[in-house]
Amino acid sequence: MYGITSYATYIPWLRLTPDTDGWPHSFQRSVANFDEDAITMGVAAGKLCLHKSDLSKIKALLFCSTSAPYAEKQNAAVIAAALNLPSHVLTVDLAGSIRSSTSAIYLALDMIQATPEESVLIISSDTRMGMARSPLDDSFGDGAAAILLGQEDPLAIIESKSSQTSILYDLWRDSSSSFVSQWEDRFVADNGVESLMIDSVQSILSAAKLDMSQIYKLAINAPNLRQANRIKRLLNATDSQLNTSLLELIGNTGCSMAIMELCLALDQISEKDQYICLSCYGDGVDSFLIKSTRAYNSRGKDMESTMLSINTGHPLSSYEEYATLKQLWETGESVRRPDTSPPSVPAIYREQTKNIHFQGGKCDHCGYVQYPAQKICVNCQEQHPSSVVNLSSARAILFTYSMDYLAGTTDVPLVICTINFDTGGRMLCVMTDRNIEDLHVNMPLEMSFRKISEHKGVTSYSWKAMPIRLEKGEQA
Amino acid sequence: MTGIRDRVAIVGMGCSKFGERWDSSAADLMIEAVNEAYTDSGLSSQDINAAWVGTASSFRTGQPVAEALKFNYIPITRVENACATATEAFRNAAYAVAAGIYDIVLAVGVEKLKDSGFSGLAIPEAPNSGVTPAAPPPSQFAMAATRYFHKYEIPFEDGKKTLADIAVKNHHNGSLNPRAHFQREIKQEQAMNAPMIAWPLGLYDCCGVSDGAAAAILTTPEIAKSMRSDYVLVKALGLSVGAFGMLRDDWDFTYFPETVHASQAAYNEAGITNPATEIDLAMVHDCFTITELIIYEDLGFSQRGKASQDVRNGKFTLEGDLPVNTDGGLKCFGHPVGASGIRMIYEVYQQLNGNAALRQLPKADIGLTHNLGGRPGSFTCSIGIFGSSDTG
Repeated sequence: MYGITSYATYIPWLRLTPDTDGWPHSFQRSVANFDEDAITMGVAAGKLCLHKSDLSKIKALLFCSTSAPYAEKQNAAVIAAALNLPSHVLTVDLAGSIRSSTSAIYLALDMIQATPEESVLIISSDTRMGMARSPLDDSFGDGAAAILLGQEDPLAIIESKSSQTSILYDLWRDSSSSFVSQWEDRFVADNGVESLMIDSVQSILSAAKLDMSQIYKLAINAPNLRQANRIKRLLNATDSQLNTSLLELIGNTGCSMAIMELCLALDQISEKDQYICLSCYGDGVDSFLIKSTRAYNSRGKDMESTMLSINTGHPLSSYEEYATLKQLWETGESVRRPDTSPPSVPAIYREQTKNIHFQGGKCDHCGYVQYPAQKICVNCQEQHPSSVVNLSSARAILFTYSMDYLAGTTDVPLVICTINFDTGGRMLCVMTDRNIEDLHVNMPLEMSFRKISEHKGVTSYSWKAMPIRLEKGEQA
Repeated sequence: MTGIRDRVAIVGMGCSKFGERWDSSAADLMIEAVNEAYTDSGLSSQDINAAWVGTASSFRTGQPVAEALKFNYIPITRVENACATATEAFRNAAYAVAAGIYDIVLAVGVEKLKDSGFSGLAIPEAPNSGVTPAAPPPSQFAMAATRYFHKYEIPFEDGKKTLADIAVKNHHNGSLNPRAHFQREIKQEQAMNAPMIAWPLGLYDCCGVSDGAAAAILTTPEIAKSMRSDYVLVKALGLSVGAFGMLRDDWDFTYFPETVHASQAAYNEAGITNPATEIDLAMVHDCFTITELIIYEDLGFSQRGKASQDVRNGKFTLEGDLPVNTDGGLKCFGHPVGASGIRMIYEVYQQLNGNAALRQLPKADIGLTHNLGGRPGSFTCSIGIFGSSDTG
């Protein structure tokens, strides 16, 4: 018996909300910060998903995105390194369609069938762009979701699956464009998402001899609120079965949307044998019938609640701020800055353990923890081997900080901080996703994988500190 | 170890006007400073046996010095130790004289910063992985202020007042100095209300970024005596290089161990047991006001945590018990990185010889310079102690 053994969502902190100057809508959308992309959000979701998992059992990482930063160079490999997955793990990028996330489930099920003792991690992440002020710009949201499939004590099992392909120019983006385009939505609704999804859901239910009333939750990637409501009506589903809060509060998160809806449904499982119907549209449709194995409470409160991550956002002050961090326009600076030198690829390669794996060292002789790991210990000042200290999930306190108003970032003021890890060790880093009013010495922090610099397509990733957003087990 | 005490004398010094020297190249600035040192000493380029030049980023070798000053194939070495570069040039020159290798040598420090088109400090970096936080010096030193206020439970407003008082003092001293980059007095509230650069440090908490050069001619005390009566003796040169602050989570930013180590070594070398009473004046590395506050404690001028009190009581003003940065300091004289250390020695030299004009202190026999390179957690600290010729 195999199925979903763990899951998590990551929704970026920033939001366009009715409180945002220049945002005319009553609904909200999530916005990836200037230092986030599909890779970093994917790492955040993956980190939460794997926090209690045995990494040695993972067979593959399937990364699904239509907005991955690299067109050539594997995005999944960067994520695997940041998650400290063993190097023998198969890493795959799936792209091209927002349906790739559920197609990944299809592939993963076959892989697990071949070697049932192993598990497959699927991470979906998107930060799609619509032209400024376009309906797509309004309805898109940013975010990532991760699920771990395997046979070790699954929370829910996948009972059946179906897939079909269709060619339709409803949404597209050619490789030279930053923005997604769409055809007129009435044609698309009639011939795309609505007809295909309704047909697919009804077929999978009837094959299982179930009717809609026996389905606890529907998890679908409706493109927007209007279409979600139409699909709900056409399927005879209730408000409780088809929750639209994700669309209202976060937006359409592309590849990760169907999986996020699944996570939201799994969060609400109240007993054994409840059915979730997952259906994901995108150049065709994939549908799955998923059945819970136990009540939510019995799986423990060690997972972060999806609803809580949806609700812990911070409104951007203005649409202008959004346009700046999304680089929808070029902004000028009053200060002329020296050109930064491009990152050195050999240095990035050499510093992988420090910057990507985010490991410090504990001196085998005196036990002193230091970041980065040192060949000669700073404490006993002798040359001894050191053992690995993983810092990506470590907590830290803010030892001291400053706020730089001239350092030339979109995130003014730049919060420069010195943090002390609870494992021991210290780091000079930038704090992201912060409210400057909340900053104080000794405030608790967690670590987040982010873009640090970009130059001619070479992105240097590493870890930043951020205030703790949500505590595990907290309920929305 | 015999140490450097009373083995080397300064017989001539020069210092260019510091500031935005749009019309002057690094070569022009060096010529300005070195010409003054020649005039002061009565020597010429023909008398110099060897030279050391300090510059952080204006050029890479000794050749530009030979080209500018037309030296005839003498040994010239370029040295660099971040913001403590000039003192490093002086130190190497002094040790060469003390070792008996040369009779008369030149130490010159120079920096041409304003050609970068950037109002901050533009120092090129070696190729790297691109993950080091974009944390310019103000943000790094501001972290020391945050922690200092936290540790001693100083309310933000009070802390800002103390820092403002340091800026006010240095602006006052700078206003008496025609060579200083900034020569205007400021008021406490002006400093407190200035725009933030890196919170909690505002505009007046940060030193000037300037062009400038300074030079010293060194020789043995025996030769110095034959030249003039008012030479200045090197009493001590302490240098400490540290790098542990960001690797050790128990270092707390409220003291700089490099300053403590370098000053202790220098006090021992100079035979000073109570710096607060035995030293008449000090030029310290006030790259930021918080740095000067911490330096008071690190040098033993103030007790730990009590420097704010000493600032309030005027201890470090021209009229105080221990005047600090009588020439305006980095804050107002300006900070051409590779020149600053020798500029500090220049002011001590003028004060010891009674030539400091409006800033002249009534008693100036022993002076200290403190030159700091790097950032909190990883500094190069260079201390010099100097005495008038009758202290030999």
